[in-house]
Amino acid sequence: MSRSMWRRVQHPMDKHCSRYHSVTILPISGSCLSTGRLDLDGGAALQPQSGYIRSSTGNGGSTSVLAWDFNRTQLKTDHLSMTDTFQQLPEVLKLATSAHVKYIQSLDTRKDEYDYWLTEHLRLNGVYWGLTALYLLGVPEGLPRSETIDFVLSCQHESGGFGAAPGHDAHMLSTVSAVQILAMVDAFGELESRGKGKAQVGKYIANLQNRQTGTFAGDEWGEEDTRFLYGAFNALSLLGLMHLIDVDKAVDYVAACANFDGGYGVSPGAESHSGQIFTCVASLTIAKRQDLIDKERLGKWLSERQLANGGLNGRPEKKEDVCYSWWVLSSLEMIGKTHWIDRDKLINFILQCQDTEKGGISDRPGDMVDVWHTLFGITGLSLLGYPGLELVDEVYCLPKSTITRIFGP
Amino acid sequence: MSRAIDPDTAAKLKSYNLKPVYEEVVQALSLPTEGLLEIEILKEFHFPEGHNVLKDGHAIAVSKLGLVQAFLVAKSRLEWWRMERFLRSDDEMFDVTFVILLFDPEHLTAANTRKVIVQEQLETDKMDPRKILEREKRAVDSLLTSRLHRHTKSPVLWSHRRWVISQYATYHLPVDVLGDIKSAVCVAGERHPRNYYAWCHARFLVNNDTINNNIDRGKLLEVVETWCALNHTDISGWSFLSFLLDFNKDVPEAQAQNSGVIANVLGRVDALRLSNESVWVFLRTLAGAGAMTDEAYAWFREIQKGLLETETTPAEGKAVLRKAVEWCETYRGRN
Repeated sequence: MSRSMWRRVQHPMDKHCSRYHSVTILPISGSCLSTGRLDLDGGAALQPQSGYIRSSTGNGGSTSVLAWDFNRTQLKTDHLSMTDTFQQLPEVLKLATSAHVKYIQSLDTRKDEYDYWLTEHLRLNGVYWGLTALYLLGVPEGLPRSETIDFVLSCQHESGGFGAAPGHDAHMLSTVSAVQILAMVDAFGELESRGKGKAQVGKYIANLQNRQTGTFAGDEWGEEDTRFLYGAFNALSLLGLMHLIDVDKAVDYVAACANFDGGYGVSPGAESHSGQIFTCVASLTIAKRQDLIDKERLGKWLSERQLANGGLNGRPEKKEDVCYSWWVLSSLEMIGKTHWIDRDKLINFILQCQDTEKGGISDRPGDMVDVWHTLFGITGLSLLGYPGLELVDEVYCLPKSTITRIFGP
Repeated sequence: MSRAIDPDTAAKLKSYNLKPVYEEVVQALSLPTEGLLEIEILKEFHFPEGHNVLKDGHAIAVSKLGLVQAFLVAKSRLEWWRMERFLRSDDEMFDVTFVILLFDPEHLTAANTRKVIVQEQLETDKMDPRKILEREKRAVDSLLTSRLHRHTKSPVLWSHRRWVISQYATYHLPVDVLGDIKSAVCVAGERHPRNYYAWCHARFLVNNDTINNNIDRGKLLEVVETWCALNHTDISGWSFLSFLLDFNKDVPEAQAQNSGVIANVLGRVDALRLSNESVWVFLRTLAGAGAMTDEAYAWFREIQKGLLETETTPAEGKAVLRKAVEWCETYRGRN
């Protein structure tokens, strides 16, 4: 039986070197539950020698693909019906889309719950997580647009930065979430007319750069972390304001965070961590400096995150956690090594982490759900080509449709 | 512990009578003149009727419901203070923010409020900076080293500690780096395994030129090596040990110190037949990076071979061992 086979290709129009066409040969009997993720533009020129793949979409979610065999001597054609295949799964192993939508929509109504108070410090981040999940589930109107914008703008300070909720101090992380939300709902215009404007946000972020070392602080109190560097790159590139910062210095800093084991940490010499790896690889991708990444070594480190149960962990000997379906998987995606993990097993693992009745996804099967794990479970499934989900952008953790709207196809 | 609250409890939260609970909690949490508080948060059934705290010297238990009630009072006092600063004294705001951080260790605004007040106190020059900072360090260390699962690893709290230490440097006050690593990092590291931000803080302490000039490299290696031996499944400890072996490795005594540590680790791995991932990732990275002498490397290979051939080595362990050799053979000698 043919196993999953990926071919990393580079789309000639790809601005970020991150989009790819990946294909799995799926026996028609459906017993091997691999899935492929296809960018359905249908227009890529076929260059067999370099591994390009053309795809075309039929109706009802079935696709025809031309795929490579291992020796590249032959083109095979398989007719895949991904929807059909997934309909053969038992009930528990399907994505409970409508339950998850209801769960996310109910979050803001739970003001009596302990959890609501406990999470005020990340309310704006929570809105970004919930909204992105809704977009990927195909329900972008799931949260009311104008109220969402009102809430985001109510978190903005004079400095241009955003706090996690009204009355909370401004910080890079909540500022980035604000920009991501406004990008998704196409509200940069409202930021100009009713908020402090894009330029002020850009200024707030740029002022957090350490001009000696290139890295970024989270706020005026000076904690430095590659998460904040990535946040700056993410938000400023969405706003079209990368020229406000010293990109080269920041890139040098990220490169200095590479460890001998292949991973990246929070600062030079820090422990390798999947989350920090994502921030560093994504930053280098935005800056078009993937040439600085030792992809083989990093890919090896990342592929070792998969455990026997299919889940991914963040560091050696840690437990599996659904959120690493994002941090690890998107990193692998960016460096073209997603085929170095067993994707079927990961899909199964993520699906087992759902609460299919009340909705939401938890860190591992049986635990309590939360919106963070709900988002990253869904983004993981999207990256893995799970049918019925909108495509997620592996660099920005936003719907691909948002990225295409802002940066062009 | 469930995060949902039943209707009965929810009703209690709406009661106007939250203030006495707040006073009770704050009273119990007042920082002693020396040492740290050991705080736990427990379910209500541990407490006698009408009580929200239990106290035994430095050990404090707060009921979960009592803490939520106290938090609601503290939250509103913080909101008022942000509008009208003169409404509350510094000491009252330290109480307010401590309660908030005990309830929610990621409450950035509460932590920043403490920085604002501490900074103002330092700048007025009326109080001894040593006293101000020492008190603040004990407050944050009480939260970082207690048996509180979220607090021990909180990036907000570790960042607050980093800021406090940087003030020590600004005011030319000495920092006992080894002491802090032992009393804060190692303890938090044990309470919360693979404590990323705790061990980041250790690197900050060691790397900080203005505070680290009395550092005893050998002693520090000994402390961390021992910690790793007691927590051999903790990748963060091993990763910090790697960092230390690389730190100041050009000083004359470094080579002998490093050889000693590596020999101790190899000896222990051999004797205890350790085949877990954290240890072998540590060893393979050292071997790959050329941090082992040829002799040590040969011993490393011998141990690996021996463990592979041992029947009782678990299958996962054997996979780890194979990968370790494969990996360092690939990267040994490369940059």
